[in-house]
Amino acid sequence: MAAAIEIQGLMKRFKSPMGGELIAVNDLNLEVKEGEIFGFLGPNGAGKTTTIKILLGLLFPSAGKVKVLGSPAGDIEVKKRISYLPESPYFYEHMSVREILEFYASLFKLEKDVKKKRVDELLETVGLSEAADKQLRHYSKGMLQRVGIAQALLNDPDLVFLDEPTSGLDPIAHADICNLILDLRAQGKTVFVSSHQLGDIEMIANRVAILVGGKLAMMGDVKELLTTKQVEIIADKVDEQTVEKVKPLVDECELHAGRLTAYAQSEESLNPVIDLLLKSNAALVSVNPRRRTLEKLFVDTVRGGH
Amino acid sequence: MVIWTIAKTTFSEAMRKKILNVFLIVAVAMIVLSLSFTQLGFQSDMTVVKSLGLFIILLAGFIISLILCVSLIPTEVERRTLYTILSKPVNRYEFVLGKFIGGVLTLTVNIALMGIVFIIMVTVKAALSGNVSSLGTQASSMLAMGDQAAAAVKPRIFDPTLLIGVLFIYCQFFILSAVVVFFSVFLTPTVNFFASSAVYVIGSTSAVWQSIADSKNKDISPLVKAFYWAMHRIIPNFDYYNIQNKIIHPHFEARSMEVYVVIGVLKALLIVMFLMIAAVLLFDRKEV
Repeated sequence: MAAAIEIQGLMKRFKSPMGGELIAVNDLNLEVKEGEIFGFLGPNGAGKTTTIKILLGLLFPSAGKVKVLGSPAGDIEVKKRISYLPESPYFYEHMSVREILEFYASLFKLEKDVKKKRVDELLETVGLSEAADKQLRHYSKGMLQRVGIAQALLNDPDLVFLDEPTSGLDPIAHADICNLILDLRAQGKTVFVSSHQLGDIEMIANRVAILVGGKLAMMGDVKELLTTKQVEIIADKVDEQTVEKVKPLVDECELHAGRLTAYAQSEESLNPVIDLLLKSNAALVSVNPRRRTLEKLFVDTVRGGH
Repeated sequence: MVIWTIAKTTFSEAMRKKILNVFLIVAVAMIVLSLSFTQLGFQSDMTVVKSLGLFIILLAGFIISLILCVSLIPTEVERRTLYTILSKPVNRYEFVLGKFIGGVLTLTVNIALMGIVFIIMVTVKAALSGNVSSLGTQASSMLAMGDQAAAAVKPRIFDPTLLIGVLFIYCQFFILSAVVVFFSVFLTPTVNFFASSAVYVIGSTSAVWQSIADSKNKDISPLVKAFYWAMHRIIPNFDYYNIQNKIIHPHFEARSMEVYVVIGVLKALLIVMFLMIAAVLLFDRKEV
């Protein structure tokens, strides 16, 4: 699969007003494949937005190479094939959503008929047809986010950059946007999404990268990163004596109100634990392969405990 | 096409700015009210009305062009609307020129409205008075401005020199808008406001700096003279367009008004073109 984004040795330095230097992105290397949803994660100030701005040609790299769809970032021909939804988008509030979408469509030099058809389609897609002629000053945050999504899809892009696409949305709109992103992937488009909504990313992304202090701390396939060799055992009616016997056989265990949650390293240590529990008349609730959450992985990575 | 799209949007947004509308309405009201001035006899009244009207347009134009243009580009960065525009196939020069043209269109409409009201009011006042001596004054004014042919013909109620007055006020703020947009590429709005105001004040007193630079007084150091020469040469000469007094009081020295006007307009276009090229080059490498 070809690369939609290639970043090699990217560095971005800013001069601080006090005369010092701030390194926002440091020796970043990553590749985003065509047709995947790529989650770009990191705590605030990690350099995510700076990287996205460099990919869009809004900022210039201090060092390193950046290619978007095979061309240098900021190339005007590439911009015809990409789109961007900034975090908390703001639009000219004296305009209606139809007018703002027509304005953005004009920047793509779309023909009048094509423009009208596309705007109507997108209004339908993001569920704003009813409010199409209402001034944007009267829109809620969630509705503005939908306008942002619509403007990002005007040119039927090959690569979409989304910065916090589900921020401030109600649960219904939230689910709609997640489905929309999955639809984009189904259409073969590449989605580069930066978000603090780790549950969303875990659900929709193929691969993720975690940026900490401007450096790449982790990158990989979501399924592989979240799968562990541990097995989770949950049992009720467990007493303290049984817990003491279980402890040497497992990696972690915790007793709370008679419920034991234990993590065994492999199937070999699993059977003795289950035998012990059954002999002590505990009620076995579940035995499942342990899967880490992205949130846990993220926290561990950011805190350096990965 | 992209430039025009951005210009139209800028214009439609700017025309809705309440603060600009307030200045426009107050200015138009003051021009209309100035006609009620009837204290000193017809000729003096007309002088006062013209003087006041042109001053009001000048003041309103100054405030409108500064307030409008100082925020044209920085607001786009602050609101992050710039990101959604520049991430589309829009060249940076198209963005800067679109914003500038949108601002200038707003300025044009504002000054044109004030100018039209002003000229209509002055013409109506002259027509209602029916005072032949006033028309004689107008003819002598044209004669003094070197317009022999105009003076030879029958005097008219409509005074075309007022058009030139309004046009030259427009030229000043056309240039000032370019100065403000140029500064807005690298200065904060507050600093830009004061820097542009300073440029306007210095440019409006260009003749003073020139006289110091050309002075034969040996007490003035050559360095000081060079500094004033540079101020006179580098900063746009707004003084060239300050002909209001020459219109109101007919002591104009130009041999041909037409040539003076054409040179003035061409100068304005050249200065604006230069400033826009500089703004585009700076913005092209600006990180947003």
